[in-house]
Amino acid sequence: MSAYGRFLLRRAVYAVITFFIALVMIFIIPRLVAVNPVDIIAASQQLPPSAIRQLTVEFGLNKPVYVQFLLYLKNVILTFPPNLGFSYEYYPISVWKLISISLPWTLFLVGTSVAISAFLGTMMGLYAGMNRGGILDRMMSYAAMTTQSLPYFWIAIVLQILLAVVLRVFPIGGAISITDVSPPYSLPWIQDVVYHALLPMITIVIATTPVYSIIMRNTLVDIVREDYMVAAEAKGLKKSTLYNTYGLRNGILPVVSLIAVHFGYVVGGALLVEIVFSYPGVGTLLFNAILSHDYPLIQGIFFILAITVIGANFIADVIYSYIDPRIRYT
Amino acid sequence: MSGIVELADLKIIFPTSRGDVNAVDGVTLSVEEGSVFGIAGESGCGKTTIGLALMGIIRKPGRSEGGIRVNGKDVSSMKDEEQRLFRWKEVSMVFQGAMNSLNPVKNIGYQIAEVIRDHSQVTRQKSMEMATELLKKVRLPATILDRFPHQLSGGQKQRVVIAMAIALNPKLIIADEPTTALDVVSQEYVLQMLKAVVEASNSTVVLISHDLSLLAEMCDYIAIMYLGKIMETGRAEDILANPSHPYTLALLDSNITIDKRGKKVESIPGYPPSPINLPRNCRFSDRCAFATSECYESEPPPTTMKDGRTVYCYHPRYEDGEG
Repeated sequence: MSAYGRFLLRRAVYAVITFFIALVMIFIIPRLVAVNPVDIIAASQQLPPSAIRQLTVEFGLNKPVYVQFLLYLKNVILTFPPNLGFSYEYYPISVWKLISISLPWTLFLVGTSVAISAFLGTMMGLYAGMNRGGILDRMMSYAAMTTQSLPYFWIAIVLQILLAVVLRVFPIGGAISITDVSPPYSLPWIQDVVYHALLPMITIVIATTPVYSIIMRNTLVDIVREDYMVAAEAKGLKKSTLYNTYGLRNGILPVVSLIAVHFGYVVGGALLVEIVFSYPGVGTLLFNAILSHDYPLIQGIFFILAITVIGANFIADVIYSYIDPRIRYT
Repeated sequence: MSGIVELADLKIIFPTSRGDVNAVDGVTLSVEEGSVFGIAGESGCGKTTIGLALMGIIRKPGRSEGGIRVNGKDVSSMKDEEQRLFRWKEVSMVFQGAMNSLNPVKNIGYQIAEVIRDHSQVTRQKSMEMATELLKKVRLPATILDRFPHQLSGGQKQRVVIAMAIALNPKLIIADEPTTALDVVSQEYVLQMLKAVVEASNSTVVLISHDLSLLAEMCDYIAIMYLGKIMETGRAEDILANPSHPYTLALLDSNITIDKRGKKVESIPGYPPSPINLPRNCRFSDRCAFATSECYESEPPPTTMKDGRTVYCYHPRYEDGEG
């Protein structure tokens, strides 16, 4: 097997191990909370003892823990779509169903925002780092410090009050107008969806762009000092070559890691932003699940989160090796 | 007749919070076209700074005063695009520590072709063919094209850097410590390579090194620098055989050669003074065995000796040249 094949295999094995550990944690944590889910349902619905027994059997809680664990593994790994159980709150709707309703909204909202942030931030950081001490560099430091020190739900609230409540340019919240009757994926429907997504998107972009620009800029500041950058300058290379094959290619690695981390965001939802704008994404779903002690739903969301974050990190490793041959050939 | 390089009282100053660092402090020299001109001196004397300045590279917030003319052009007044095209096409450089002067994320073929393509209208394929030819000149196989810098040995990298330096047939090649980072065997090999390549290309070479035996082997002319200033300059064989500045003398004494076997190697007492706020006297006076009161009072003016060399000293040791 080639060195590169071994590298990929090693990374894949790490990913699988991490995934397994995540599964165990997701299994254990709700069981550490000394609340019996059946009691919660029973308390809220005043069930007779026979129904309580029935539910305990249905949830499998009468079985020994290791059997529960094996059943859990079978349900989440060997079943497709994974059987994540039923939500307590929305019983008898399945967790998978709830997630599959809210996930597309979050993917759209946060995915687009993070893509915009990553692109904008990287470009700004690249330019600022290559021109250290220049106007953009100095402005960026102040701007980044300001936005970093503001909690971003606060940015969301300010934008909401200013643009939606006072100026009425944007809707206050939601993903789509209640009055919108146009069929899904038709042009007016898309317009409505984008219109609703703009404010939360702007919030996320304002909050995350500086993270990218600062990371890129700081990496570049070190790279610019490298001998090969002086050499590149001496070679009279075109500015585009200097920026692309020298600055960008050498400085992009930390950005790739950051995108992988932000994938958790893309799937888990920018919780507070979604709540402020009542956006029907995974963030809002998780928030409500936590409020109502809806453990299966919490577990389900964490399960999806774990898969994507681990998957994204594996992909980041592969991308890393393409960008930096020193990783590929060692 | 003016040379391909003309420096007129060149000063390069880097402002710092503790005061201005005068990395180069009033250097005047002329390099004859087609010759090999050596610049020698210990670390920090400003050799590399001069080399980079010849290409118009003075990193901010540094600035230069005085004249830098290369190939008849005023380097310090060039505009962006003019300067970009001047670099490498007219003056190229073999860098100190070739180890780190290649882009770590691109393969060798790409990097050589990149220089060619950014300076002329050639197709990707043609530039790759040219890269292969260049590697042949430094006796590297074409398989190197697909390799990345971290897969090559030090000597191979250094040869790649030499191949790059001659890619555009520049009039002037600056070689900054081209062999310092190599082991003795590769040093010799790379040196012969450089020599052969330079002879074949008719380029002028400015060779920067602290290694006097290397300079003796390669150079027609030589300048000895100390703390940003030239101490003595002239024909290499004259200066190395009969040093006249006390600093040159001390430098040669501290050099290890085979005929000094069994004898003690002399080092120069003391350390160079700080390049910040330099005193306006002879800057070597503190460490000089021959210094007299006038050396502590003012900077010695240039004295031209009979053999053509210029010495900046009140008490030149070797005066036969003067007659």
